[in-house]
Amino acid sequence: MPSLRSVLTASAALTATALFATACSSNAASPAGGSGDGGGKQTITFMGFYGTFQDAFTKTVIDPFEKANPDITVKYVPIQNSAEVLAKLRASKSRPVADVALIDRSVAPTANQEKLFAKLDTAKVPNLDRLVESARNKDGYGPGFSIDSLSILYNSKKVKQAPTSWNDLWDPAYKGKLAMPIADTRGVALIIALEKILGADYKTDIDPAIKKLKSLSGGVETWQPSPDVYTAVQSGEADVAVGWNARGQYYKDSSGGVVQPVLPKEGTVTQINTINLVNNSAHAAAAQKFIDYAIGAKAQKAFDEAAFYAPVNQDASLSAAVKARTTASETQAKNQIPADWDWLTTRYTTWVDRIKQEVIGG
Amino acid sequence: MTAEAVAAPAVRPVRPRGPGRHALALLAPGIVALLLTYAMPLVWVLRMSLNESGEGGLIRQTVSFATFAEVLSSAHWWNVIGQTVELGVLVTVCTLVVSYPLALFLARTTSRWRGLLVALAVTPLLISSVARTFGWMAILGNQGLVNKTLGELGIISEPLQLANNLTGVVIASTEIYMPFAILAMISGFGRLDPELEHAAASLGAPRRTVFRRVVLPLTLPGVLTAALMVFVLSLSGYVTPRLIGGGRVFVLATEIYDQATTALDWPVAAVLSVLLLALFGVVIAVYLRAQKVLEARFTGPQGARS
Repeated sequence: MPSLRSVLTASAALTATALFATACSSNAASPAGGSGDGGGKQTITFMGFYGTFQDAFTKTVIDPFEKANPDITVKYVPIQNSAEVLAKLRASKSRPVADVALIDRSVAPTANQEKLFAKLDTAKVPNLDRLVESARNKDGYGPGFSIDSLSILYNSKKVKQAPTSWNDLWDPAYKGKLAMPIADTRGVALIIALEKILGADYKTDIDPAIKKLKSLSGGVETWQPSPDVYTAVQSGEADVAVGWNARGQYYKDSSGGVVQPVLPKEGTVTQINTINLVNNSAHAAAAQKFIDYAIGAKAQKAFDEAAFYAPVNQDASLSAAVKARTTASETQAKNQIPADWDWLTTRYTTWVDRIKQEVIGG
Repeated sequence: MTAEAVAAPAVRPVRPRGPGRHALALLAPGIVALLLTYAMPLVWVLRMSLNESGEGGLIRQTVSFATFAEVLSSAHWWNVIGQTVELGVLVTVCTLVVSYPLALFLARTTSRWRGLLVALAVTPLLISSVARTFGWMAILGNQGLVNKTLGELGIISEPLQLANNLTGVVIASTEIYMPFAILAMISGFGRLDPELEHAAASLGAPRRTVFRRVVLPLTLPGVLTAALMVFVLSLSGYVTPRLIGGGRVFVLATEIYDQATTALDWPVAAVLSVLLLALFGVVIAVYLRAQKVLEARFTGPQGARS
């Protein structure tokens, strides 16, 4: 076998290359700036959502934080969704690729249970005491950072009579012109809202909401508008839709009022993004300082007025004009439909599957 | 082996295992790249498919076929597999039908513009399929070119449902895979020789017979390759079903994505990926079989031209 030795050489070379590559990648995977906690300049890596969220967050939270803490730099790593955060942190447990990460409230319990996130030190994050009830985490993990809510969106050029209620989605005038991207958290939130309207309890039986949604399916133009529901409403591809309020409000301004988000009169369900300290972070102190700043009254007011989320901090008072466009408004706060997201985490997949199989595919 | 062993002492100082070593050295970068980018993730996916999922995206590390059993016993997932194959067949047939005449023309033409025409046929590949799918949405949507025109002309009162469903996906996918089909066909039409057509015609065969008895059999291997290519591309296609399917077209690629990112059920996503891979295996086996049958049927077991 003359080739045996060359095979061995080649595989040795290959292994060496592979090792080298792994070494490189794990180097690259550790957060930027190798300096530890011991004084000097530090860089903490923050994973947050991409796009307009990133723009608003950088301007209203990171920039002022860096100015106030010249020894800390915050690097923003944009991510598409919570699943991506989960995937990245699962793949880098011992040397995490981020120090602070945003994640959807419905995914957070899983990440906490897997010890991807660490509990916060209340002494280092004093603002935890100033949070509104729904933003608190009873086990001491990352609190809410932003409160969004499900809205009805409509195109003001094509819809004469603005929808005001969840029941208006069944208005025959909108038949065939509905965009309903509900095979995700939006559907879960919608089911909870419908269950309340129908006088049912989502914890015991969601059949009433599923049945109600089924009766809508003939009138739905698309269950998955592209590129997203806000642009579909703006372009007139769909007249009426459901979507997240904060983005809807942003599009309302950027489209010159063509896109109109409505917080329905029966109230709506909120969705919270939590801000978390990543377990095994090499910069835990600086990271918690940053979290404290982000949930502080000043940052909350600035961020929410730029991006139309409801504040998590009781002391943040939004301007009246912005407040009315979020669930922080008096009427919405009064009518808010409570959702137990810890409990929902265990039902999320089943519900989304039912929406897909019974409502969309049925 | 023996011959080499006998000859080896004489040539040994000159080229001891030289070619083999060079070949391996040259192969090494490719093998490493494939191991890192293909084999490793594949092993990881196989491993993940043997795990079980808990509530809320938790993964129970275990070695069992429970997730396979769960997926394979669900009517929904069989439905998804069925729709994936259905879409693949529809797209393949449509693509072949529209690409064949073009490919035949490009293969036979003696025009000095031939090079340019072939280049034109594949230029759509320079534009991302995302952009092309959006282009089709602008054409097929309710507010799109087709519906607007027909509506203004008074031919239809309600917009035709051309997008946000399977129809839209088939139309857009057909156009997107056409350049692949045309390229595969042109390169597979090597046996087509104008002399043979002339010979058949000189023996009194009408054009239809020439096509049926000469052109078609000689081009079938190219068509088969194109069919394989389009079918496989379509089975794994994600962008077009996702963007223009309106959330109604459930195929394996889109469901794998949703299981991984929305439902956070990685074991199920991994099982679906393994099933898709198995489907590819079946397709390739069928292709090899069909190729053999074709060879035997049209060119004789020994090959007519060799």
